[in-house]
Amino acid sequence: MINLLPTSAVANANLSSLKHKITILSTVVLVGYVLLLAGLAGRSWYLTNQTTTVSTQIANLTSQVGQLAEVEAVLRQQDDRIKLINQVLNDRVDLAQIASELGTGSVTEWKYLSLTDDQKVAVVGSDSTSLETYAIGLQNKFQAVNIAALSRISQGQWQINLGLGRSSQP
Amino acid sequence: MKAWSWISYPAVVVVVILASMTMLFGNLGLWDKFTARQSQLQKNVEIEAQLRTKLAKLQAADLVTERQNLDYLIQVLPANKNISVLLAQIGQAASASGAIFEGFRGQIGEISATSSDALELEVTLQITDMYQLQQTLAILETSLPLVEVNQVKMAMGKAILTVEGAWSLLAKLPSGAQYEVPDISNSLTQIRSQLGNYTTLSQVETSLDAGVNLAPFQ
Repeated sequence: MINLLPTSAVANANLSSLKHKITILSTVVLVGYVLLLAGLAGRSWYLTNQTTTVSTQIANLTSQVGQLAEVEAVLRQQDDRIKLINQVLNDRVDLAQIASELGTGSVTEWKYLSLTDDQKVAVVGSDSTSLETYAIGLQNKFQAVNIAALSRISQGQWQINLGLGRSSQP
Repeated sequence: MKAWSWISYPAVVVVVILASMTMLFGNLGLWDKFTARQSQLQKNVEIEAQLRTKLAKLQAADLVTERQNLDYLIQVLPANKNISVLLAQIGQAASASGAIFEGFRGQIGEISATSSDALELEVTLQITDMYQLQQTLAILETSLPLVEVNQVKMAMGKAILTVEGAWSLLAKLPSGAQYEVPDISNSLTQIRSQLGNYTTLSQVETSLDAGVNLAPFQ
């Protein structure tokens, strides 16, 4: 095959094709970009519109909730008080158990308070009920043992002071 | 020159895109405003949902019933410091168990804005045996308003009890859409059942009708 076209003619044809392609590509990119901008503008308009609608709704609902402020206050005061009541109930010792139960307690520490005439010891434990039961058990078993004091020494820690008498051997 | 004029069109397209992108995506550009608006809308939608739930709960509640419930809870845990109620409680518990109320002492301060001011009394009871003390304690433990016996000291024929009357001022609760209405029905039922066999002194006046200000929101 003999190339009948001169070299410059081929180059011109290629350049022309390239120009055409670039122009089309530019148009596609421009159209795409414009569409993207239009989409964003549309979405932005929607957001603005929605924000206004929702804000109006919030204002309306806030007003309705405000009219029921007393109900809300009563309910929330109840909630607060229930928490406080549970706190008191959990914190206090169930002394009624003393009268009815005997057994060994979860004593964590024995303390000698005094080694003079009236020997005094303190039993310390975290479970006040068990501790009291234990002390009462001791008292019942050994006549010389008497409960001198029951006190809460810190949060969750109780101490029972026991008078042992002169001759007691617990 | 004319030979290169074709390039002006793509060049303008590129320049326009680059310039507008800087405006769009640059610092505090339109895109930032767009995303900010989007997140604001999302936040508002959440607030709206919270408010709808809150409103539904509030509309479902009956004010009269709820006030009665709060009244009961204030009877259990008074909203003011009432020394006479505590004394009456101890006195009745002692007499019911056969012990004799001998005396009391305590530091009674003014009611302050904080509930750290404890209502504590040291009472001396004359007892003949341990059973009387145990009975007194048992009655005190199952009486309303709630009390805590913090210390029991034994002496010859006497018991010295340190008794603390539970009380707390009504809380000043902040208001706002973000604060949910608590669902208290279960815990209230639990409290009522737990304290079902507790006795209330007839003369105890701790209810809302006794001049306790509900102290609504701050």
